[in-house]
Amino acid sequence: MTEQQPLLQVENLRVAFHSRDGVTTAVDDMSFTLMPGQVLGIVGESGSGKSVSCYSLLGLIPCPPGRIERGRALLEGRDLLSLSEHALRSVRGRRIGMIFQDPMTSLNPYMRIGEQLIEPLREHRGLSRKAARVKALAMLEEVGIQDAAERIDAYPHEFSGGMRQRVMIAMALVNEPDILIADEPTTALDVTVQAQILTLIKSLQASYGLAVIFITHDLAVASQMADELLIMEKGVVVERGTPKSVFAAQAHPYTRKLIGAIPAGAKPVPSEMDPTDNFVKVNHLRTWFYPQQGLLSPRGEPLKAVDDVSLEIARGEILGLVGESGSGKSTLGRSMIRLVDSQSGEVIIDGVDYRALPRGALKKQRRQVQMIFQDPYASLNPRMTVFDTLAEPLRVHGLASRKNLAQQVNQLMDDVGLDRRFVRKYPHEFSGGQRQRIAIARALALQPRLIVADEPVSALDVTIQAQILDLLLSLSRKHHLTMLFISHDLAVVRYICDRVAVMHRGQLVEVADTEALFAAPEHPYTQSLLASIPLAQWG
Amino acid sequence: MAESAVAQESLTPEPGSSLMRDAWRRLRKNHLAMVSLVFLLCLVLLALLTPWIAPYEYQEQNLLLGASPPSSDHWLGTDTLGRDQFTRILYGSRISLMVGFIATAVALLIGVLWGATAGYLGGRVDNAMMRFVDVLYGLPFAVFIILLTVIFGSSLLLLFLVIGAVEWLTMARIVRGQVLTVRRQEYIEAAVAMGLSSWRIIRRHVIPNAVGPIIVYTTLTIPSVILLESFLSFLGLGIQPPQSSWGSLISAGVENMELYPWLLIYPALTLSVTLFALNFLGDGLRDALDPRASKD
Repeated sequence: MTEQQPLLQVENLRVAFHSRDGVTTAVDDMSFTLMPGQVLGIVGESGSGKSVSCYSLLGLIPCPPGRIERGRALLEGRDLLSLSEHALRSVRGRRIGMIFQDPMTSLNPYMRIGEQLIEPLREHRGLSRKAARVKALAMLEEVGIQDAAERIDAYPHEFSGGMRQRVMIAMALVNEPDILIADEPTTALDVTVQAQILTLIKSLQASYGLAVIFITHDLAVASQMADELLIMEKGVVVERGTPKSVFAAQAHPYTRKLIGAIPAGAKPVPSEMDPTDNFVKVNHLRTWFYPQQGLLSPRGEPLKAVDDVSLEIARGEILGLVGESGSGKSTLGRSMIRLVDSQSGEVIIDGVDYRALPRGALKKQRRQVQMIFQDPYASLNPRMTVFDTLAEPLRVHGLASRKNLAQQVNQLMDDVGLDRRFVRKYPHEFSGGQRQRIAIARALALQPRLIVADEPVSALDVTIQAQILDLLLSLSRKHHLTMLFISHDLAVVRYICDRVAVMHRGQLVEVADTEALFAAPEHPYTQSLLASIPLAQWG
Repeated sequence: MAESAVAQESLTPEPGSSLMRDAWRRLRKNHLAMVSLVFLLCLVLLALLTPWIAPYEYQEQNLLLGASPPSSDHWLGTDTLGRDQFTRILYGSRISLMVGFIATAVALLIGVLWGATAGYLGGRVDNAMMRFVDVLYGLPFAVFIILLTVIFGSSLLLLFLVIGAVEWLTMARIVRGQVLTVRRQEYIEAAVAMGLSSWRIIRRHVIPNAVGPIIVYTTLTIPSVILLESFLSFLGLGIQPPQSSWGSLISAGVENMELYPWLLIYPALTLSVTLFALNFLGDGLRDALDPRASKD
């Protein structure tokens, strides 16, 4: 019995990016071995180098500015890092398959999925069209596409996100590679779909004896999937071991920070609220979207994004609104503050019926209700300094005189924990978490009574997410805010919300106190949501 | 000491449009763009001062001399009628620059307002406004111009209007497309949620973020307008001989290209260098107006 040979051996890998402003080391002195059939989880936040390290193995980082400065990556004795582009091509797809985060942008929208599967088969193996099609069909069935014989000639947009990711997996595995690199394969997916895809990867890994490199920011997911974990921070592997030993040791402070940042458990302090005082009342609200029409074409079937929804939010309460993508939760939030026009129903905020307000009165009233958006990279005007961004609402509503404008802006910066000296900078000079702080400051500028927060932390790294959640909690207490907190992440909702409303296909299916809902979900949809939450498995 | 001074300054930022101020600061660091700007300013100055500095009169003929190559008397040579080419280029720059800048400004003004309004309001308004643009696209240009000339006669003012009326169509389309993408950004929603007026949103949030392609297209429009003028003059609209413009000098040069190459080379060179300067300045402006383009 000889000892098993490692499949892939990476030694002292160093990758740097050279730009005008100097050299950034993305990956520094990284080493690992991957055994056949092993699942290696690489965990880190954005910018930790977790993706760059794997992309550089396949020659997929742009050079320049990127440069592999040092190291070897031996795949069966051949050093991947010194292979020519031509030789690498026979490795990519054939020996190492890859799946990416966003299954929509990594499939060609103008090509039938069958063609996209057949192409690599013919390229790498020289199969005939017919044989390749048979093989492709078998692969689609293997990844759980129902009616594969019909669906093989469909286009990517005809598949849901989860199904597209299954197609991507089929594409990655169709040439029976030895190694699968999965780069955040479930990050863009809903939680119930994520659970299915993870199960699929696990079962394929077992049946093919695949070695998998699983890149993720989600420690819980990684701990479920991986035999061995690498934890990366700023390009350096700071901790490694089995999930069990990593959790037991927590030797590096960054590991402790990551584990501590996972929102766990109930809301620390309940909001100060008066449950009898309904600050917001939504009655039978209905927002339907009609498909885009030409000048003369008839109206199509509407999309019932919000369909007869009623809810109340007490003064000072934080109400969570959860649901999967497409459930209408964002549209409900936007309809409530009239960013989207609704067809019927009432939205009464502090005694004022928003839907009945004429335009001019609405503009004045808007300062009562502000919104925080998901993507801090899209929600700030890139051509306005922080000062202008924060000063604009104050100027427009005449809330500040010329003299105390700067003072008020500084006050806002203090409130959200940003250094006052940053006011002259532009949004792109900030990190994601800092940008979200700016967006929160902008929302607070008008001293609103109600905040609609649409996935305010889902674009952020876990450690930043925890900080922003605590900031939102403390600000809502300080300013007596009422909040609608929209999220797909149940753990986050549990940490911050007093009550939770569950939305499914445009309708509210369950509203309950947070802890009651988590203890005993009533609606089957809520039950399946709760069952899909990835829980860290440490042993 | 120095650091606390910096901090002090930052604590009391002046209100106002800091984008413009920052853009100017960034533009000054772009040497190529600054050289181009200075060159264009000199050109405009020369054009303004032409009647006083030109060595000859633009209509002054010397039939005995005929077409002569560059000499100490006539720096850039003379044309077939013995007119001094340097003088005619100088006088031509008055017409060409005026046409280039004013007609482009007309196109820019109409195109940006039209396109931004259509793109921002969207829906049926957008549909109606852009169909109108399509209809104008469909009009045969030459017929349109001849018609106008018949009705209004030939004048420089009409020239600006006609060129502007044609060039704004493409501008409107570019701006609309740009605005459509900007409009979907969340910061526009945030601005609506703050209770800002549509006009302020268009002015402060939409147009500054759509400005890159607008500037690039503008720098491409100016030269095409300058050349368009010679075509229009040929049709009888615009300037008439013995007046000169760069466009008419170039087309005259093309006719005599084989015998008297300097008649083509110098006007074409002047136009090309101007185009380069415009493009460099345009690129510089685009980068300067984008805070993300440079780190400082």
